[in-house]
Amino acid sequence: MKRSHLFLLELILDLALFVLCGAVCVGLFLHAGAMSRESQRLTQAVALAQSAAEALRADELPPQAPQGYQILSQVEEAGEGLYCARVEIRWEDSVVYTLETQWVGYGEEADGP
Amino acid sequence: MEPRSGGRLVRPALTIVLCALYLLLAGSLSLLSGQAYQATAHSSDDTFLPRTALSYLANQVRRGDEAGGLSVTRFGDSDALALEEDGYTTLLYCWDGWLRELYAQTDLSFTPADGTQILPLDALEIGREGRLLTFTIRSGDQQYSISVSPRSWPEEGEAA
Repeated sequence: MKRSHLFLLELILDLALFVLCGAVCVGLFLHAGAMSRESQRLTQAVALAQSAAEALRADELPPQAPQGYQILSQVEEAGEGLYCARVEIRWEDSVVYTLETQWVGYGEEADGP
Repeated sequence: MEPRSGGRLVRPALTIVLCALYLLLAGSLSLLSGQAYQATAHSSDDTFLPRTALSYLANQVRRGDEAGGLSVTRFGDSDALALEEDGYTTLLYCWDGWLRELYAQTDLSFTPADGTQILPLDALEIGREGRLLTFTIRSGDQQYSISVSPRSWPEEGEAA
């Protein structure tokens, strides 16, 4: 009788320990999924920021942002044909990626040394 | 005697139930972990291929960005980017489910199948708006695009 009691107790303890470890694993899986989605958004944001910066340099309209994304850009002329731009990519009102860049405007290169 | 026999049946039954529960949980956890890994790997592949293709195209534009060296044309049934340098032309296009590169002398003619396979790709569109060159690719049911502004391109209305 005692042996069967001990066996059952051990079985229950093993099950409890397994459930605890399984809960940790499930948490890690969920975290991995969230990191994967965050990485996808960052990759998309970097590409959008690059395209927007190129459009600003070409004096064209920025690309159309995919659903959920926002492109905010700001350009300032720093003088002597130099332009400074700041491109911010947002996902659901939170900033995902910020790009700051500078370029010499078209037509200004001919005045260079 | 009956309560004793009832008591004898409860413990083995409880043991079997606990073992079955353990197996069920182990199987569920294995399935869940497999699905989670598959979803993460699939998502990673879906992002990697189109982004790598667009990055490759953008870098090719920057490499061939010199006066008269960059143009958009048609090759096969796809838009193509043509990079000309020292009598040789590099054509980047999509054909038969692949992004392909064809490097040959400018005066020679080749078929779309002659290009080297670079990356799997369903469709490639190249558009120009003023000084802005936009690549749009389709991989599965997703669409990705990137824009590049070649410094060698003149104002809109002039020949590239």
